[in-house]
Amino acid sequence: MTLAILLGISAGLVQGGPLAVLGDGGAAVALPAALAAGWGAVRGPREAVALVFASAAILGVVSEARVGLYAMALLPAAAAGALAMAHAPGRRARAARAGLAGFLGALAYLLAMALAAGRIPGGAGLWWGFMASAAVAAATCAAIFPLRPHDRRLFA
Amino acid sequence: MTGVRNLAWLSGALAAATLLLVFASNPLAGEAESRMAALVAPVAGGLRSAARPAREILLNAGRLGELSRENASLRQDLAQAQAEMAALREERRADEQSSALDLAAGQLGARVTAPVLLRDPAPGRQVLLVGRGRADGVQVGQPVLGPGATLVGVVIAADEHRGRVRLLTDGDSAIAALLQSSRTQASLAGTGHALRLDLVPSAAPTTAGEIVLSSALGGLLPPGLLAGRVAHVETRTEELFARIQVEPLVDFNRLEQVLILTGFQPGTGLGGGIGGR
Repeated sequence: MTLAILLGISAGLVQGGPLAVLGDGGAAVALPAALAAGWGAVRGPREAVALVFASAAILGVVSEARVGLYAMALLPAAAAGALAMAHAPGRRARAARAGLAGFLGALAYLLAMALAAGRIPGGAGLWWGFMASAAVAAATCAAIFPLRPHDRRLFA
Repeated sequence: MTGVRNLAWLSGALAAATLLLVFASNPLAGEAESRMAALVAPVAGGLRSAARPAREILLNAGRLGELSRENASLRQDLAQAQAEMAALREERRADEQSSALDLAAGQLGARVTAPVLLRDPAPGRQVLLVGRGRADGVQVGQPVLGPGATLVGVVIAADEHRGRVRLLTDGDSAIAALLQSSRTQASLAGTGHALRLDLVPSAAPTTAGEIVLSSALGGLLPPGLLAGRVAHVETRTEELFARIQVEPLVDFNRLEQVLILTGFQPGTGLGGGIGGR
């Protein structure tokens, strides 16, 4: 859980600093959404939600948009990540699902933020952003796969 | 069972996010955010500076760094030259001691330079967080200039040591503007990533390349600040107004320092404005 929170804070700082200058926020990779999806696919929604709130707290204080809005916009990524771990698939299958969750999470994040701002950013960069988010989610999932919780019941 | 627990977690999180959003308008929440921003902004700003080389590579994919620097420098020179040219044209029009001339002469009145700490990470918003606030005389509504004394935005919020600047390209930005040659009043609005000129009659003589200046109409901005250049004009006989795209004269992604005209009091016209007149 601590690691998830630290990762969330770092993701918020990177998203609010270096990534935001790559153009409109929507054109850059949605790092917190990608990490929430990838992390949630391995560690479950509890830690993904913690990651989301840590990122949202950082993004909300540096942005005109509020913390609650960021949290709402990032939660679909955590939910998609949780769905990706259903039936406990293996590393490759789970990474693929996490990638899809990252893509959908980034899309949901952009849509929620854009709706709140009253306009949807355009441009080809958006799709690169979604694809990059998917790649980051899949890579995160594959990297932390050994940290997945194991069923410790005696006859499991 | 696990599915139910997961759903409960996510529902709880959604409820918490909703509560945060509901209480966001509470002054205490604003104060807490402002204090946290004092801690977070320098760290994120430091990361932003550290990542500058990588950013340059990404922003100039396929081009050499030297070429990028030279290009940035040339753009700045061009913007400066255009600002001076605009100011000289204003002078020629005998617009007695026009503020544009003051700009070229460097007589901007009280002003402070502010480092750009961060760019708002929220998609769809074009807002900068700058490192000057009320303690430095920054107030809501003051104009903000970029390289070449070009208008880049307006202060929309200021706390003690930091301010937020809405860039001209933001979708919520709209300022009174003036086409320099035809003297046609218009509204310069942001589209989220570019600029467009609204309310210019189709019959008005407008050509690509024409300079767009800020207008004092309404007293919200000082007149004569360089704001952009007409890029494309489309007129249709059945429409009252022309569709005009305006290109900014500075790269809003590269702003590192901005100049805030703290001597300008919005709404008071030129009384307390540029040059202290």
